[in-house]
Amino acid sequence: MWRLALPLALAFAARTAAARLPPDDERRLDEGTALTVGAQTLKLGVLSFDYGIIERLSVGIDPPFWAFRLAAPIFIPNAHLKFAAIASRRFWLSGQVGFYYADITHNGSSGSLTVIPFSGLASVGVAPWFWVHGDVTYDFVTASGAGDLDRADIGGSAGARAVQVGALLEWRLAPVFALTLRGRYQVYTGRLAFSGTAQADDYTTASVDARLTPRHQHPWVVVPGIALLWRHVHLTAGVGYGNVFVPGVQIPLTKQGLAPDFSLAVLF
Amino acid sequence: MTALVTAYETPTAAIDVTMLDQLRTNVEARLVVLHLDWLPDLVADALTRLGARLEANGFADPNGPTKTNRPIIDAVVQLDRVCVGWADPPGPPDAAQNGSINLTAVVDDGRLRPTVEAVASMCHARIQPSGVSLRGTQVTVDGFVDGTLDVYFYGPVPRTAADTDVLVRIQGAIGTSDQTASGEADFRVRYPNLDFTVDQPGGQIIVTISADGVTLQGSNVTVQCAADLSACNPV
Repeated sequence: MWRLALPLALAFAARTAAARLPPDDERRLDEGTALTVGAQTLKLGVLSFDYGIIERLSVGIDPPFWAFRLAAPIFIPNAHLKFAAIASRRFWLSGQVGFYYADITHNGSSGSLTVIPFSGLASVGVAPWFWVHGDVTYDFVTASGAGDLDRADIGGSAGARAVQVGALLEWRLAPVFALTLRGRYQVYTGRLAFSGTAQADDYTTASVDARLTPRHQHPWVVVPGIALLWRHVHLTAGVGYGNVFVPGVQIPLTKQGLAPDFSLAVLF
Repeated sequence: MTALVTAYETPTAAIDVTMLDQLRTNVEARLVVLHLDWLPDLVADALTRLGARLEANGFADPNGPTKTNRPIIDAVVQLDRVCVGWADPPGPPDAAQNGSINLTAVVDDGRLRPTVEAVASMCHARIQPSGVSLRGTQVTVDGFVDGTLDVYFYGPVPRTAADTDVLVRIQGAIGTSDQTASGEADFRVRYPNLDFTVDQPGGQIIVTISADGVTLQGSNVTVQCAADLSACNPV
């Protein structure tokens, strides 16, 4: 008997949820989807600060990269912009571009790393309570100088050029509650060429020509989770397996294992 | 370079203890060619600059563990060092007059290859004694090197001269302001000790200069000599 209880409860919740569904209300799942944060809405989250200038356009920054300066002598200014070309009741099509700059100057060697992720995102409301979100991302990376090459990675993965595909299934069981299944796969991994010259002293000049290749060519991750989308607070959480992709730059960490997914934001 | 590394591991020639006087003469002649009173300091100085550069770039030392949690980094590091010259005129160093040493190091998977190549081009260097070599001179020497150098690292790339543990082979002209001779020289710097080989019938013996004096190591016997080679006795 109890085996029937969960499906029945979920079916009931789905019917109830149909009354209020994204993207018509404030409870949009906007991270990793084509949906925007909404017009004149300010979102302050642990992963992203965003402001919706109009319904179709939002701008923001990723605070963790700014805060990174507190833990390491690397300054990473960044910003991102999202624009929805199509924003209908059941279908959204958006583009997002980010910009991350890291100064990797170290011990007198100047160097910098720039990451520009371009994403095309689509969100389809297959049913009123079930949405499928997908994205294709191209991470464009340039590096210059002869700084600490170890710093060209984040947690052990090279900032190489890459193409990724991502998917997010959202099953809205209640207006404020959804089950999610997030997946990401790096289809293409490029190498990062790195060269530069440094003047160590009046007598010594050093030059470096380097090539960085991520140790894993096709990292992936699958994360089941939940989303709690109150009007002014959005919380998503989950635990899966695979390579953790650093939010924003979408650079995968080298190590595979348990992959947590967490985001908390307050909306005004 | 591999054959030379092997030659420094085990002596291949026997020492005839009845001919120690002749052997002493051979060792002294070899010492004149090797310029061990200043040449190791010149090499160590260039290698410490390389060590600083590798550290700045985050590369691992030869024979160190590969960082499997890091991306694969392949690189070529070139270090161009203008020699200090025999005079010290004001202004920037003059590469044309002083000469230079160009080091090329290859990094595979984030780790330096144990062998580094260098080219010394008419390098005039006034060597200040580092004080870490037992054979080191106490006075400043005007040294000259023009040729190719191969360096093999037994351990990490030195950060200070005292950390140096390398095998060096030089082909070309070596000398001082007084005289220069062309040829080939090889020696191992493992401060404060210095090793070099001396050809003997049937192979080579290994000579070590240490705080205990000079040790001659043959395939059959080891001979301990005084620092000035005045007296030698089988051990």
